[in-house]
Amino acid sequence: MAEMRGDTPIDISEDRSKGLLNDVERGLYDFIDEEREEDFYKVDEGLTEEIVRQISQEKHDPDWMLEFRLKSLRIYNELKVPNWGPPIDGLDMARIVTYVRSKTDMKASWEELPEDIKNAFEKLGIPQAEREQLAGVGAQYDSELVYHNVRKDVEEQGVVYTDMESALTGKYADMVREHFMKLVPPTDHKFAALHGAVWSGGSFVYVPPGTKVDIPLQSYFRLNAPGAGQFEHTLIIVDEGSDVHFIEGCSAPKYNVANLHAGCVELFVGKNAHLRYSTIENWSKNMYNLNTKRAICEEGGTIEWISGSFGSHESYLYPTSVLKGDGSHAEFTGITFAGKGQNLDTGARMVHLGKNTSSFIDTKSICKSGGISTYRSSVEIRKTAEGAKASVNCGSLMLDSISRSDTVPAMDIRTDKADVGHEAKIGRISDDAVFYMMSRGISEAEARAMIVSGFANPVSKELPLEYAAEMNNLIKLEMEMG
Amino acid sequence: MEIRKKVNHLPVLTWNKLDFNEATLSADVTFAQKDYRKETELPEGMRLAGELDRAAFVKWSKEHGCETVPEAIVAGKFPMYAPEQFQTGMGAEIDDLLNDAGVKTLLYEVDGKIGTPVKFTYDYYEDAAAMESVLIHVKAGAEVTLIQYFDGLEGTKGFVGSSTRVYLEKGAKMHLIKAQMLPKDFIFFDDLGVKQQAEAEFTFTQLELGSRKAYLGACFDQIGEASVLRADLGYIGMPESFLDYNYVDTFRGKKSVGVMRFHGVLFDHAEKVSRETLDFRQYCTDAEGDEEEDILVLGDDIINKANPMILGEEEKVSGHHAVSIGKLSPEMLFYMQSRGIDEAKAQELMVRARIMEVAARIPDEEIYRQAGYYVDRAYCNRTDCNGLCK
Amino acid sequence: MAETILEIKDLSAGIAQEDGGEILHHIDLTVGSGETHVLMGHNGAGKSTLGNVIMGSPVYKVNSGKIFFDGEDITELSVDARAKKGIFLSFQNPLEVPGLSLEAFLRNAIREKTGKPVKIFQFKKRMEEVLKLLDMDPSYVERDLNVGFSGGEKKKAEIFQLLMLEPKLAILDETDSGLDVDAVRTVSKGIEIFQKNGGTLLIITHSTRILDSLTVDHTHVLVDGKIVAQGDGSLVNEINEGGYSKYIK
Repeated sequence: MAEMRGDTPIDISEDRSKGLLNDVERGLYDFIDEEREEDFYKVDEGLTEEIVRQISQEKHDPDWMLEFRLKSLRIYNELKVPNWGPPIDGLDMARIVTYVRSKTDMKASWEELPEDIKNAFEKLGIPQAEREQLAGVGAQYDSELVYHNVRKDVEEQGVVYTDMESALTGKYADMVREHFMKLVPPTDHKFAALHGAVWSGGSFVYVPPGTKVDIPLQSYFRLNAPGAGQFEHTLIIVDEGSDVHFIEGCSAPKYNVANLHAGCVELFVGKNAHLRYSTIENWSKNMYNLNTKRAICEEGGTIEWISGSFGSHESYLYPTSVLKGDGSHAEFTGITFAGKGQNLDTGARMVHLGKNTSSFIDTKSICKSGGISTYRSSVEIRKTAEGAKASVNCGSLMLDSISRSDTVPAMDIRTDKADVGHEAKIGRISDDAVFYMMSRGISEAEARAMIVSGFANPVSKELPLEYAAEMNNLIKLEMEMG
Repeated sequence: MEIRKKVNHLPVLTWNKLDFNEATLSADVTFAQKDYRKETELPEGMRLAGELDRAAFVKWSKEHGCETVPEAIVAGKFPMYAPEQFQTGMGAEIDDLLNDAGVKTLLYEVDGKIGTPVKFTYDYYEDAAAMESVLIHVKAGAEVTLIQYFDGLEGTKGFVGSSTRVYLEKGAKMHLIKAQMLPKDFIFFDDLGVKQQAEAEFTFTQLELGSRKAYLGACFDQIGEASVLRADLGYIGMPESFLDYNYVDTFRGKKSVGVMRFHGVLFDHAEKVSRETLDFRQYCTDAEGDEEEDILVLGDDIINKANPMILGEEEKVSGHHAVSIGKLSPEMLFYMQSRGIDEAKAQELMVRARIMEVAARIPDEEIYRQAGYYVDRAYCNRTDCNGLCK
Repeated sequence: MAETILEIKDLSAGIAQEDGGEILHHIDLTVGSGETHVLMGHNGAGKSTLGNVIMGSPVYKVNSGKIFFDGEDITELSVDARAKKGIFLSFQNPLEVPGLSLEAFLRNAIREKTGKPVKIFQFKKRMEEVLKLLDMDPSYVERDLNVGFSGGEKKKAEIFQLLMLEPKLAILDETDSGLDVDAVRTVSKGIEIFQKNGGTLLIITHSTRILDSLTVDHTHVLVDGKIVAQGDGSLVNEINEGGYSKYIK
């Protein structure tokens, strides 16, 4: 127990990512594409009713949505900034541009995209990814989706995957209205309210009953404009007995001004349905990532969260699972890597309402070079959740003593007919393990990187191959940076 | 006087809506200038060295290196409550309360190795409202076992508060025992702050069996190298009772070791809020912290909240905590039943085991026996009592 | 033929959870009072399941068939009621209870069984006798139930409980596995005493070390949840030499 070793330090996915491991450069994520003023539409900095109306108009919102935005703005103005998380004094809302849109329409064909946007995504490997193994891709650039494509066979299954704007007015308008910010109401917290006021972009997915989508749907978000905010809304409804995997990736270049991401993800998992939601977040290190993700499961439904947090200056991220239906199930597998200048506050929340519901949390936190990583969670078992089972397992790996790692796991259990187990550990890389590996001819730096990758293995093994490779890249990158 | 104090602050805040960040001690009482502690003859090697008012106490703390230094709080990184002199588990507002009520701190000095336990028995034989504050200074190499036993006459009611601070010099050893078996209409608080210099060993055994409402706070500051802490809390949450506690073990010295164990039972309609923190400060290299909470829940209308935290500022440490909450496991029940013990009896045996495990750490026949009776009574008050316990 | 004490009729059972699958198929087994039966079979044959089902473990459920003890149908009876009737199962991994001494545990079990307060003096004397018979250290009974016991100590403690509780039928589940010579001696001695006092034994084992000093009346061979062969004590030796291969199709 004293020290932590990677379970399988040798399995550092060498075979998975041989090529990628060798030529990692931070530049891959930090490239800045100069946006030419005349090609982009922006609202003024800050947040006023005027700006909210302007966004609504620009987006051709239905009336109810304008009302919703204005109501959210009022709530935003009333709510206080959280007193418990990383300090967000550095974030000056008066200086955040809430809406930036390229003056290009959404394209379904990659070739039609403007060169600069295309280049940005090409560098991130988005279209290749799609060609190789994705059922559908949406790519958001700043505030709006610029590219959207769904594979024909998936479309023929009746799966709807579209941008939120089209969904608001299209065939599924009623369904969207019925679900939009019902799971995460604007009253939830200040940044949910902000989201409600200025949200833009994001995806809508509907999987009809009894449909199994074999290949993942993917969304990629990139925030390219300096001093901008991204507020995409993701709404996924998986109907009875269906099964789907959704992947989101996020990145942004680094500027000297703060950027803000306050997205919102709402997932509705129907009876006996199954949804896996994977995220690799690598926002640049000036990003305030105040993201809200929540899922609700009906009877027998399953939500699985896979979450890798590498980027951002500060993060508040706690995907929540509401286990409403009897026998519903949630799993959260997450890794957070806080390096220099980062304060990442991540975790999960599980709310058990239905009988015989179960939840598992398995997280790993790594901190280094003065980074602060906080694991924060709550497991709530209500009186109605007879037969509930919950288990939490969190490990923290500290790579030096100028960093900080905290574990703050709350539990609130209100029935005796529940089994709850919790285990947490904090430790460092074992000198013995490093020595052992070095004795076999591996350099110390390499050995340490391998151990960290091994520690992260429970998460990476849950990811599709190329995302696992990307994650290992990120770990290696973080390990190399001072 | 009306008491409304914010106590048991979570060292690092979390979501306000979970209602964990602090507790409120509230009561409306009139304190009588009356001493309910039975006369105890102090053994050789221990003496009452003075009565300190607040200013004198602060002065004493500074002189003895027990003042709150910047590195002793999670400085500036997180929103924090106001730090106090000689930090305790319940926090600064308890000192305010004692000061407002005119309670002075009794300073005891221990400079010998005292073999037999010193026992302070507090007997509330009538409706009572009383508080006491003691400061125990154990000199280098000295040893003492102090038992504080709170008992009362069944049917009386009241408010009882105990504030204890312990300063252990290098190599000093102390076993502090607090056993609370007050009648059910009492409100009780117990606030503890401990400073441990190098190689000092502190053992803390707390048994919480009585009172309708209890607030417990304990803050162990392991300043010195190779200091050792062992803390055990055993409690029974009777129906309609409320228990709120905050245990913090702060590791500052190299190779300091801390072990905390919590064994609890919650009957139906009981509420418990617990905060347990292992706090590893920078430079506490090779420190080891281990904490376990094991709660047996016996009723479907209960509130059981736990927040076991690990805070880490130093990489070269090892910290572990584990929580298990639930009913009697099916495996255990099967084992018991296979020896002819039915479910109700098996449950009682498990309740008894949890309490007696802690009671067995107390070197005092009377308390051990009383703890057993207490479990008997807990079952006697219940409908399934077969009268055997009488 | 001795009077029948345990009779299993056409018993099929499996894991209690849904889709747990069936482990035992149509078992018939009759055990006479005072007899010693050995149930053999390779790992996973269902031997432990049978012992647990006779005791009424909630992990398993009976799909069909009946279990009779002392002429009474106990198939639906609760675990503690079976124990009170005189069935004892030794556990492979007895559970640990910090804070509850072995002595206190036994005292409670005996009080539950007899429904009368235990006479402390008699009880203590009996404990001393049994400890002596088994050549066990008296401090044993003061220790918390199974807490910090080594594998061997746990098995010895189970045999100690067997002699203290004096059941009619003892089902010993792999009681001899993983024991050092000393523990085997204690366990064997305990079983011998129990047998000599007229106790009925159902010994579940895949090795036979412990049987050397015992007279075995009947042997049953379990393969894939079915009893495939039955015989007298000599079958034990046969299996020792030839293994189970001839019974596996």
